[in-house]
Amino acid sequence: MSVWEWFTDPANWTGSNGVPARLIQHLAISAAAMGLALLVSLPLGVMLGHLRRAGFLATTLGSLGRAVPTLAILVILASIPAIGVGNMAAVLALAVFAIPPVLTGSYVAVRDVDPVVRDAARGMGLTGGQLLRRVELPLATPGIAASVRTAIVQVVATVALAALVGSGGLGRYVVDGFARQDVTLVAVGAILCAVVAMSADLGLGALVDRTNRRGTPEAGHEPTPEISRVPGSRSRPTGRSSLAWLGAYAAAIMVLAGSAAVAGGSAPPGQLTIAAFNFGESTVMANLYAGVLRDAGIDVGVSSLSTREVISPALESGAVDVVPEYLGTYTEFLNKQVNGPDAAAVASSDLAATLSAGRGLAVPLGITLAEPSPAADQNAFAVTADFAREHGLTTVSQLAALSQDKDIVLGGPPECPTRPFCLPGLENVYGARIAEFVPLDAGGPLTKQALAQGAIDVGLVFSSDGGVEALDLQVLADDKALQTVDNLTPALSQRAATPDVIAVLNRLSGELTTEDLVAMNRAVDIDREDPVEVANNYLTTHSLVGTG
Amino acid sequence: MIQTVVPMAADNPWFSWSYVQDNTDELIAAGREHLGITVAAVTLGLAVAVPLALLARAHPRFSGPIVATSGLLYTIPSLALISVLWPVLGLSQATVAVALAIYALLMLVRAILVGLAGVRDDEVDAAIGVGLSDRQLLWKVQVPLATPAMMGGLRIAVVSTVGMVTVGALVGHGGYGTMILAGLNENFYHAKIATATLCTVALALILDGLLVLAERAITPWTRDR
Repeated sequence: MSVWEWFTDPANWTGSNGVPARLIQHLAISAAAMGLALLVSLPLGVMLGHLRRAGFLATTLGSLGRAVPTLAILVILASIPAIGVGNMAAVLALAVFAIPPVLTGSYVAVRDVDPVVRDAARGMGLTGGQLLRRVELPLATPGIAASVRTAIVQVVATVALAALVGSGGLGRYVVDGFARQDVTLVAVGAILCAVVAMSADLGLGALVDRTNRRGTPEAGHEPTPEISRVPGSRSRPTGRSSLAWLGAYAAAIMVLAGSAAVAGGSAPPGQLTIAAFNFGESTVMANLYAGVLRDAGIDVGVSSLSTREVISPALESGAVDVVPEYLGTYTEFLNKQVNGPDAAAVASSDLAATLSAGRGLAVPLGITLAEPSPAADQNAFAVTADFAREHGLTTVSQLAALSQDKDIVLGGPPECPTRPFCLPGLENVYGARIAEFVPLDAGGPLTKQALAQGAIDVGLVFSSDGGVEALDLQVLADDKALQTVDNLTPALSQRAATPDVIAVLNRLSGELTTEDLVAMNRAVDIDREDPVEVANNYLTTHSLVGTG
Repeated sequence: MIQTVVPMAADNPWFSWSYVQDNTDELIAAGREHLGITVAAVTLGLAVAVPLALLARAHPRFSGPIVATSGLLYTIPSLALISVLWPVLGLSQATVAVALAIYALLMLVRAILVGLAGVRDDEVDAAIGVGLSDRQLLWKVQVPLATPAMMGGLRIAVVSTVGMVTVGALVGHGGYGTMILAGLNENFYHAKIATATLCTVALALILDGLLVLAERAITPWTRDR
């Protein structure tokens, strides 16, 4: 689908994921954050400027605020249970983000009011409050307005980031599109975010100009110098030499860009890259693979990437070489990729049949599936124990029955609405009616946290996750066998699929059990042990390394 | 199947020295990537900003459009810019560096033009009066006098870039940002998130301090006033 087709499809303009709803969320989060920031920073900045005190504090806060990454504030706030994932974290993080520029801007604007004017006002007998209201504030208005405008534009542009911690707004299209490797959706999100931010900039610019013209005689006294009149331009430049300059610079830039691209092209030749998905278990698996391969004298590097939609094409192209895959999910992924989105499912609860179907699909793409391990990690739907008790739920069928007369909110990875094991499976196999879907993460902390908070009723989790029971969640029995065999299976690129590599990985797969997997997940996710160490300990205690 | 009943919040401190000791290698590797992307982005930005600013100086009718365009492009969210470059440059450091170079470029063009415009007319007239050529005027008078303003712009560009590199975590190359996002995905690993955040801020402050020292070294005349 092209970007144009997306925009002209009426379906994208209605509902909770439609453009109007996302735009309203985007603006509401921005407005709430900005309101909060102004409430704190304006009185403080103006007061400090009036008293001409604590200038160091005001300006240091300004530059320190720029150095603290917004992503970090978002993640930290989302980690605090009282705030949690979602729009609240976004509002608070963006308020923190907007306070320093407004504080510094308003402080400087009031401080820099001409001392002569100030002295004259004092001489006329104005009190401190009168001086502030009648002289300093009117004169400082253009400066304050400029800093507020900048802050608003930055906030509107930065709201997009909040989608990374599960909040709404237009950034959702970018993050969801990325997770599904849907370039169209990413482009749509980028365009919408940019248009909204640019409109805010232009609109506020016009507003500020008008207010300044009407308000103060000092309207021409803008904080930004007039740039179009550049001194030195009066003397004639020699056209040829500036062209030569441009040519030289263009060449230098191409060299730099080229070297940046080369530096970015990750692995040294001969080294195999093992890619992990963005959750703990995958990191452990990747390090198990790395451990046994290194022990066999094969040079490998481990790289942590995002989702299957990103990793699978990289595996096809040889940008990554070994991926700890889940047999059923990956087989269906390839099935939809090769045979189209409406292809009938080929993965099932039969391990051998699924493996042969998976290999049949993978081989033409240049991907080799090694032997599946007995260790498996199925997708599973979970609710809170309280919710399960209240509605007497133990199976997904009972949930589907409940959903006929109660609005059920589902949370899961952004790609859930397109995955047969997720939303479509719930609706088509179980006949459940899902009132709303909230994009979060693949069985990660966002989903579990949202469940515990009650922001969603049911979430997609992993059955081998150590955090499910710790958070008092209950996994619902998959009584209609929607989830297919998801045994851990190494997927290999063409150059990695040598008999040596396959033999080494098969030996590990044969040894690994689901219980081992659960134990290692618990060590990493709950006991905070280092995934690399956990993997190495396992390999040593099971004599999988150091024997040759 | 799962026996644990340990609550998730247990033993998950924000600051832990043992975390730092156990993960020194990862912190150093992330710092190296963070610094590398920052330097590449700002260098690339400078390489484009300087000729653009010179062009605007030589042909003043271009300066309006250059400044206006740069202001508009600056409003594009970094998340969007990185996402748009991803299909072109792939999951690489180059994607992050090129996206951030665009932001750095805009901050630098503005800083250079503001700095040049801040040189007083009488200073320029005096220089022309004593017979300096256009190139001499630029390098011997305008650039030195504009250095404080330009260095100010460079400092802002560097510090902002350090912060924005974290967004590169989306494509797996965000330096400390990759660790922050990984900390989120590992059931809110507080020590990892907080340590990586502090490292980011420290990196920004260190680079800022180095630029302040560099500015003092190249503009000795600003000290004795």
